[in-house]
Amino acid sequence: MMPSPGCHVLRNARGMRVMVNAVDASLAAWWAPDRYGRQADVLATLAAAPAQSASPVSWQCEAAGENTLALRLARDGLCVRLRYRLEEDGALRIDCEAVAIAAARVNLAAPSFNLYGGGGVGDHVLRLAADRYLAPASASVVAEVAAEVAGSAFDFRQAAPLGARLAWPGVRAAGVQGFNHGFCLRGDGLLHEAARVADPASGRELRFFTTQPQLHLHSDASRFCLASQVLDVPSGAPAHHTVIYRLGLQDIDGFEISKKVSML
Amino acid sequence: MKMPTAHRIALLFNGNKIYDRDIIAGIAAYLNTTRVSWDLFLEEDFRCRLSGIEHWQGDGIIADFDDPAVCSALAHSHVPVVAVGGSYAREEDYPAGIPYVATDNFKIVKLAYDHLVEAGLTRFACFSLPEADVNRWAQERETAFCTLMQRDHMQADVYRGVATSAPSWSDAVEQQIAWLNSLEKPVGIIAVSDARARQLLQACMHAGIAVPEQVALIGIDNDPLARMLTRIPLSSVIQGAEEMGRTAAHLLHQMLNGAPLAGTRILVPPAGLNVLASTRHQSFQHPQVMQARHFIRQYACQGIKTDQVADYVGVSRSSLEAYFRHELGRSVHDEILHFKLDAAKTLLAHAPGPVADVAVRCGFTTVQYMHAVFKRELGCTPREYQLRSRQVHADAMASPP
Repeated sequence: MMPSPGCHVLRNARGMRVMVNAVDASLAAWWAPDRYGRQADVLATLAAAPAQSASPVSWQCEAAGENTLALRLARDGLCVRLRYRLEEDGALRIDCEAVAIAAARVNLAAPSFNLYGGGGVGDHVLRLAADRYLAPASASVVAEVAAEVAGSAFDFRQAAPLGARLAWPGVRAAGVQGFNHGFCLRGDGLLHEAARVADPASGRELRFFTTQPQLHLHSDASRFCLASQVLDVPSGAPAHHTVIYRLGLQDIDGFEISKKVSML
Repeated sequence: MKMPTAHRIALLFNGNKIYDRDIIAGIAAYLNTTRVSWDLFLEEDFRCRLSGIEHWQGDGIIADFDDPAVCSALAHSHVPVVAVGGSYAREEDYPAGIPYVATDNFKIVKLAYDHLVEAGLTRFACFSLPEADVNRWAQERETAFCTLMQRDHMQADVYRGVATSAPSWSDAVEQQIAWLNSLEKPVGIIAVSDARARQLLQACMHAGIAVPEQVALIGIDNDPLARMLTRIPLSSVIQGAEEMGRTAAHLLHQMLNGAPLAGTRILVPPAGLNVLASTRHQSFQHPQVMQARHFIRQYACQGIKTDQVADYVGVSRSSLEAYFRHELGRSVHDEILHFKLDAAKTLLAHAPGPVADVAVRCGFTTVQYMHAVFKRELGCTPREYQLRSRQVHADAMASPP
C-alpha cells in the first residue's frame, strides 16, 4: 500500500495498518484482518461527518514512528496536540490535549466504519453502555432532552442489530434514515468501554473506549460512526481526552448474547 | 397518578427448544428493563392450552407461529397477538393482519454459505427435513440455499432424508450414508438445524468420512446440547432469538397502548457465527503468511526475493521470516523455491522444450542452480525428471482404460 502524500501509515506486528492523513488529522484507511485472515479497509467516509471549522486547517507532524504519530495544530490562540498509537492488540489510541488563551471548542472528525469492508451495516450488531439518549435536535425541539433508552429502539444495553432496530415502529416514522443520536454514558472522566459493534459475516468487532460522558452514533445504510462529543477547552488550563478504537475479532466463546454488558 | 394495571399475557412457546427459550429470555429481558409489569402465562406444552384459547380472558398473546395449529387457533383472536417465527420467501405465507417478528432464514443460510466459501469449499449441499407443516422453516432454508446456488450457477443438492423414529433409526442412518457417499468431495454441507447436523455428523463417523476434510458441516441454532453430543465440535449460525423476543415484547407493549401495528413485520438477522472444528476446512493461517504466500504463488517465477515479499506484506524481513518459521517451519526463500520447483516440474512434465528455457521461465537465475535444486530436492536432474514423466505419461496412454 503506497501512502498518499501527507499520509502516515501506522503498523503493528499482526498485519494491521492504519493510514492517518497528517494534513487534516483524519483517518484515511484501516486495514484489518477478518476471521479468515483476509485484509480489508474498514473505514468509510460519512458524507455528513462533523466539520466544525470553515477555513481549512493544516496540522503539523511533530513525530512519526512505526506505530506512533504526533500532530500539532496552533492557531487563533488555540493549541491542540494529537498522539496516535497503534497497539499490538489492534487498539488505536488517540490522545488529545488542548490549551487555549480564551475558552474554545475542539471538534475532531471521527472515523466511519463498515466492518465488512463494504455493503450494508444493517446487520452489524451494536452494544452500547448508555441508559439515556438524546433525540436529534430539530426545528421544533430546540434543546436536546435526554430520554431513557428502556423500552425504546435505542436500548442497546444488550446487543441488537442496527437495521432491525430502525424497523421498530415509530423510529422511521420520525423521518430517521439511520441513527443520528447522542447517548449519555455512565462515564466518570476515566477511560471506559462505551460501545462494541460486531459484524457476524466477517467476524470483525470494533470496541470503543472514551473518557467523555457522551458519544454520538451516526449511521446510514453503509456505515456507522461512533464519535466523542466536542471537547470544551477552558481558558488557560489544558483539556484532555482519549479515545480508543480497538479492532479485533468477535470472541464467540465469550459472546454471551444474554449476558448484560457491564462495560465500565 | 393511576397505578398501571398488570396485563395478563400468554406466551405460547415450546420451552424444550433452545430457540424458543431464547425468545422467552428476550421477552423477560424487555420486561426487566422497562418496568412494564405483565402477568405471564406459560405452559410447558402450550398445545394443551390451544383448544380454548379464544375464550381466554387475557390481554395479549405472543406465540410461536411456526406451528400451523397455533396460526389457526389465533386467527380470530379478540386480544392483541404478536406472531414470532421463521421468515418466508413468499408474502402470502405470512399470517394476514398479525404483526410478525421473524428470524431471517435467507440471511441465516447466506451466513452459513459464505462461511463455507471462505473456508475454501467449492461444492455445497443442504441437509433438510421431510416436508411437514411443523417445519416450514426447514423448507424455507432449503429455498434460500437453492436461491444462492442458482445465483452462483451451481447445482443445488438438497437431501431431506426421512423423519427419524426409533424403529427406522438405522435405515435413516444408512440412507444418510448413501447420500454422503454419492456427493463429490470435499463438500460443504449446511444442515437446517443443529439437531439435523448432529445426525449427519454421526453418519459421517459411521461411514468413516473425515470431517471437516471431506465433509465440512455447519448447523443452525448454536445449540449447546448438539455441541455436547458430538465428538467433533459443530460450527453453527447463532439466530437473533433474544432480539426477536425483545422486539415481540415491544410490539405487544405498543399494541396494549393502542398502537395499530397489524401490518408490522420485523426481520431479525443472525447474531453471529460460532466457528468450530466441523468447518475448519483450511486452517486459518497467520494473515501475513497468507498474504505472502498469495504474492509468492503469483510471482515466484519472476525471480522475486524475500525483501520484495516483505515489502508487499508491509512488515520487516525479520518479522516475516519469524512468522514463516513459526507457521510453516521453513524460510520465505524456501517457500519461493518450493513454488519455482513446482512450476518447473509441471513444465518439464508437459512440455518437451529445452531445460534451459524452463529454468528461465521459472525464475531460476542459472540452469546450474535449477540442476542443483533438483538434485537436492528430488534426487534427479531436470532432464531425468523430464524423461521419467514423459515415460509415465506414455505408459498411461498405452494402457487401456
